Amino acid sequence: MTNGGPKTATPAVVMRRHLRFGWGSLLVFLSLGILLEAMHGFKVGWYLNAGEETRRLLLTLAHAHGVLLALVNLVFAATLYLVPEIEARAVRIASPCLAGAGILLPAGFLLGGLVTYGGDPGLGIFLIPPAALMLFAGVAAVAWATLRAR
Amino acid sequence: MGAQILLAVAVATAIALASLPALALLGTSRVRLALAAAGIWTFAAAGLAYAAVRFYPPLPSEREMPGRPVQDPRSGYVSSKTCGSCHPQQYATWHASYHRTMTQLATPENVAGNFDDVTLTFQGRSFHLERQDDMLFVEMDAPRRTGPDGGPRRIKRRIVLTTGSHHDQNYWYVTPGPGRDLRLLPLDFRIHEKKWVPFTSTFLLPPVAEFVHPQSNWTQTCVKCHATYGEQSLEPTTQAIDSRVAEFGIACEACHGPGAEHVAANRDPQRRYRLYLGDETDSTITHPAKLPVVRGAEVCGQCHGQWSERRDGTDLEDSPERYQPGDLLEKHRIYQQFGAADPAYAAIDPQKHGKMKFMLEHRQDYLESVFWSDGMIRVSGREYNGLIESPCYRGGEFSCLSCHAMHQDPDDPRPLAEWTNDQLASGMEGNEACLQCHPKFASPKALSGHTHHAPESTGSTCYNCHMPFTSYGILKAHRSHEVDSPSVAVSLETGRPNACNACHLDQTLAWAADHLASRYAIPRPELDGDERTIAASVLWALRGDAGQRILVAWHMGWQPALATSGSGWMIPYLSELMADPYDAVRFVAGRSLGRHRGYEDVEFDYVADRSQIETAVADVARRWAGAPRQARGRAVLQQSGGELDAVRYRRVLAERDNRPVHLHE
Repeated sequence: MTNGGPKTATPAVVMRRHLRFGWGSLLVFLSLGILLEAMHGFKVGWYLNAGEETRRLLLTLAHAHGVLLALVNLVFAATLYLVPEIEARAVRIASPCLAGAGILLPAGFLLGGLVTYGGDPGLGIFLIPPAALMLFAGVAAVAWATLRAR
Repeated sequence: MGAQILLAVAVATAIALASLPALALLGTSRVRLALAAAGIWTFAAAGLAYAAVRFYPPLPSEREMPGRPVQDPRSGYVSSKTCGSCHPQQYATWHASYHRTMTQLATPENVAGNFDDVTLTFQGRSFHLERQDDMLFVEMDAPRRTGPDGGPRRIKRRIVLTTGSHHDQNYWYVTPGPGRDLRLLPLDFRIHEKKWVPFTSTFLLPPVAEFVHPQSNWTQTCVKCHATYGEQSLEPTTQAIDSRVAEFGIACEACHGPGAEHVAANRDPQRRYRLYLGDETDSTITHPAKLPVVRGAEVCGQCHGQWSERRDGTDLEDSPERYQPGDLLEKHRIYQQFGAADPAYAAIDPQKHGKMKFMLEHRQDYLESVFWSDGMIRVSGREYNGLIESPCYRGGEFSCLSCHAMHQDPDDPRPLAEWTNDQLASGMEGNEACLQCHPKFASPKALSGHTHHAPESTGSTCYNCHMPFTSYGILKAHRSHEVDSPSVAVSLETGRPNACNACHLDQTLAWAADHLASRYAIPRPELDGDERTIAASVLWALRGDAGQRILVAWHMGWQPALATSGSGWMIPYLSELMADPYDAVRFVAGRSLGRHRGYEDVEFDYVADRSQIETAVADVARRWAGAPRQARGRAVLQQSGGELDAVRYRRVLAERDNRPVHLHE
């Protein structure tokens, strides 16, 4: 029989997971940036028309948040490497929160920008509040644990 | 200004205080020095701020700006800037429209005319237009007053507002004394021609012997339709006119009504998404396309119509009950319809019946300046009067929005600038507009069976036969918005060109009557000798009144008519009309001449003095004399070989209708 307690990933596993996630996410959202630049280059009306201001803003936010959150995940992986004594509990909180925010925040902006209602984004925007809370919780946990680490 | 000085001091103090911790970090022994430095900095910054405000005083806010009408959204109006934040697509298409720029502040970027030290002279009156920084000025003779020597007194006035931005731009200058009313600069800038002309030369009105200063003042002339929710009142102390508008130009709330309630209600995101995802209509704002069809058309009709005030005065600018989009328009105004003079109408609307009866009996001169004699509107900008007289409208499904869209469809492939020309909805430039209700003519066979023209020809375009160019305004012909069918009898009765002869310019009324009789069983009217043998366009050009002459001059430059009727034979008629006593006729004829091959480069100044005009016309005659003749027949007064039959020409010209015509567009 195996131990029935929750399985805890080792710091190395978490680190690798966030490195993979961070680099993968960076690739995806940098690609989105290239796509947005291409839409500028080819003057795509769906993105550039004066009336598409909301879509333009939201897709730009999706690109920016995606890239930023990818970098945050990479920095988290680096933190685990540089501060190995960081509390395991903080890692258990921060890891899913940062990864979740890294998906939900850009996805919310992306989906909100694909379908818009005049000056309002599409329903995807409702992903943003929980994603923002996850990001806050993840950053707070890492910040607190890093400050406490000796 | 006091508040701004306080703000500057507060900002400087805040910066100084914020820097204290940084200075303090330098060490405790230097704290006193840091505090002293911060104190000196604070006072120096405050002194600088005061000096800046003292020597560069801020402009008064828009609502306090003296001497001119101001934008001061009140009574629940919020202005287009507020609308634009939630409705970017609608805002962007409106922003590109000529509705927005109907009234603008006269800033260098809004002004089309040249104000760079320009001196102009018309009929002995000199005007100097100049720019000082961002301000525009005119120096001219005072409209009425004379100087000490008995001659005209020179005045210099600041130009503050403009009207129009599509074809013409007019300018309004500040008057001395209290109040916010403006007077009209007696010059007009023709945008396409890039040319200053006297204001009177842009209207179809009898020639004036002397230069005329228009009597228009902005508050009386423009406030109702060229701005959004204009209000006028008297200032309590000076009794001067206080003229305020929600916004210059025809902005969102001109058609949607005041937006404050809508803005407040839709701060709630739940409400917004409920409306997006459901079928519910937002009751906090008027949406003309969602009103009953008739009510929706009335929103356009509030400005694009010819009306009189009702006796209760509920449409005056100081009335709290004035028309708002969505209201019943005729509750506030009487829209002039000849049919209302019929005794049967008295039971429907006694006030309108009485008004129209009076006008038909005593104000014929006025009615003739706006309507054809059968009651069809004949001036541009009054399309609603045409609409409500149309048989299509009586079906209850036809309105302005059947063909026009005030916001360009995002899928409309036309460039925004093209759409703004007439704001036709996507796909409504052709027969699709009429096929919405008349689908039986959709197939080429059915269409040509009805029109007796090739299906792809301009003769099979519904608009060309049922909405011909018989309205006039802003120096061009416009499509009639009263949908009807060609009739030679009506042309004889009213003088209005019929669609057949407006395109087949080389054909007679008899020819048109024969075709209408054989194809549509329309009875042939009685015609005299000339009407049977001379092309209708020639009769209108030579012996017609100024209203007919200007329409035929325009049609002689209309591409479908040139393709149908040939063009070379028209040159003598256009050169005749280029020497017309009416300025507007000369302009339209000169422009049409430039559309004929071989005459594109003719330079013609229609407001030049008589000798220059005669020289230009003689040049055209010489050019025509040297050109090969195109035989078009006796109907266009040609002899065999294509030479002009001068005897018949002069005989018809001698019969010209010289009654004065003044169209009140």
